[in-house]
Amino acid sequence: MLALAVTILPSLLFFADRLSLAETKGWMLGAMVVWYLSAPLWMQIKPTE
Amino acid sequence: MAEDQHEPVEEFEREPVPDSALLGIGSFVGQYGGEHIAGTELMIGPLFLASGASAIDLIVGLLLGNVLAVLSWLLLTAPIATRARLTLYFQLEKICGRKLVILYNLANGVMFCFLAGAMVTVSATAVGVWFDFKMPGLNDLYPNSLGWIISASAVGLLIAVVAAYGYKFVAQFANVAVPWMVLIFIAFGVIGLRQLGVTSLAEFWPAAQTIIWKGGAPMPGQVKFTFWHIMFFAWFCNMAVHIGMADLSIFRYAKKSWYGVATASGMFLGHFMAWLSASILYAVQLRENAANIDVLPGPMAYKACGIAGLVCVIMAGWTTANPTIYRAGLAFQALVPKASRFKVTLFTGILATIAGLFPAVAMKLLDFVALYGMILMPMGAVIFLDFWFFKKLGLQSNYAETSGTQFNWAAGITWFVTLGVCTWLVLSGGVQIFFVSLPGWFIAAILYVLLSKIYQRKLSHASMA
Repeated sequence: MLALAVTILPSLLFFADRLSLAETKGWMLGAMVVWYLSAPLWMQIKPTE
Repeated sequence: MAEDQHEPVEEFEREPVPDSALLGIGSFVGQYGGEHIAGTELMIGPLFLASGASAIDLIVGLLLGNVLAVLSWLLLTAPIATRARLTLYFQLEKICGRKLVILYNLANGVMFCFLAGAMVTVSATAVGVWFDFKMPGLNDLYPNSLGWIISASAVGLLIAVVAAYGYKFVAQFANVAVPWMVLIFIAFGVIGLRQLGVTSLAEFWPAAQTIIWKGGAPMPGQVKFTFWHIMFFAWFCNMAVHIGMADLSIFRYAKKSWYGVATASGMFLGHFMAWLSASILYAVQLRENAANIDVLPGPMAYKACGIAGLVCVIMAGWTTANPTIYRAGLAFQALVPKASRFKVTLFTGILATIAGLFPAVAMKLLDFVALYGMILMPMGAVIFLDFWFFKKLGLQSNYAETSGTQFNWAAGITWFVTLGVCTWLVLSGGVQIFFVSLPGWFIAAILYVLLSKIYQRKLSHASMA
């Protein structure tokens, strides 16, 4: 859930002029990596076929 | 536009869903919310802008059109689904006969292939950002560079192979991707607005009217979109599944017919928020360079959200092309039942890849989606009339099942004549394709009743003789 929060938060901070676009993209990339590494475990994805 | 990102419903194919398998409303809220965040949303939003839509027309048109779409699921699809609890195909087979259903499957499969092709096109635009080859423009119909051909082929074939080998894994993976993709789509809009100079909520509406959706003439090659175009497009873009009844297969699992309201999650996340966000990205691109009218989701997403944006474009295309190809394969398999699921899915994926090479489908997606609904809509009218009115009119419902016919000509002629009339109306310039399905539904309904009166009387006389 933290990864999801960090996915959206940088865009809001960019909107509020608290973050540059480059920083925003960096945070979103980091959040994406964390989400895709952690969510499948959390959601218990199994390769079935 | 959307296809299911969840497992296709394969159980209880030829029997009503039992009470023990019914699902609560939460399942439908999640499913519809997820499946309408598709790669094609990234094309549709910008195409509204290219069609000269104004802010008020777009916002009000989308709100009303989406409400009408939800009402169509709620009042047309779900009540039949929760009473009969059958798949679309089995319901159709009872009414139309097996051979007509095979024809319906063929039409459905071909349309699915083109739709999956558009998703391949969207994903391939993301690859173009990395490899910097020439990508198709707004009015390109054919592939315009070797790089594009290689990229779209590679993306399409990869999707096809994965769909053939591990459909279920991708379907499960899509469930992981959906919450993240929803947030990325919101981020597209928020970042895009800031890039357009909006710094507060109060500044949104003035910017919407003067910078983003300015209205006026459409771009070259595009049809001017008014309020009516937008409302009808939002209503009919999923016509094949609500008025066309394809979602009988989904809602047969609903405990109550009012669960049809769950579709609002998909409409207002995907067909409102996502379309607006995607068109904001396009507005940013036009503001930077008014001559750059290309609708390329990859570069647009990259400018706003960097690599996360690019991955979102690929995911949105991939996770929705996967079930689309799989479902097209299922439709085609009805034609060749002995062929293995793997081979049919792979073959279908190759067809979708070929379609994806041609940017025509993606660049003319508004027209294609309207055509898709128009082609499958008459069978929705057939099911609706057959289910609710045939007994009251003294006609036999589920006629093919009762009479043992393999091809109900009343339903078949209804389908062909309705399509013929609709096509004539569009080609003669009388009615645009975005509107023609509304009169088309009534034409189909009237035709089906009249033809059934003749057909059922003729066959009953023949059997008595």
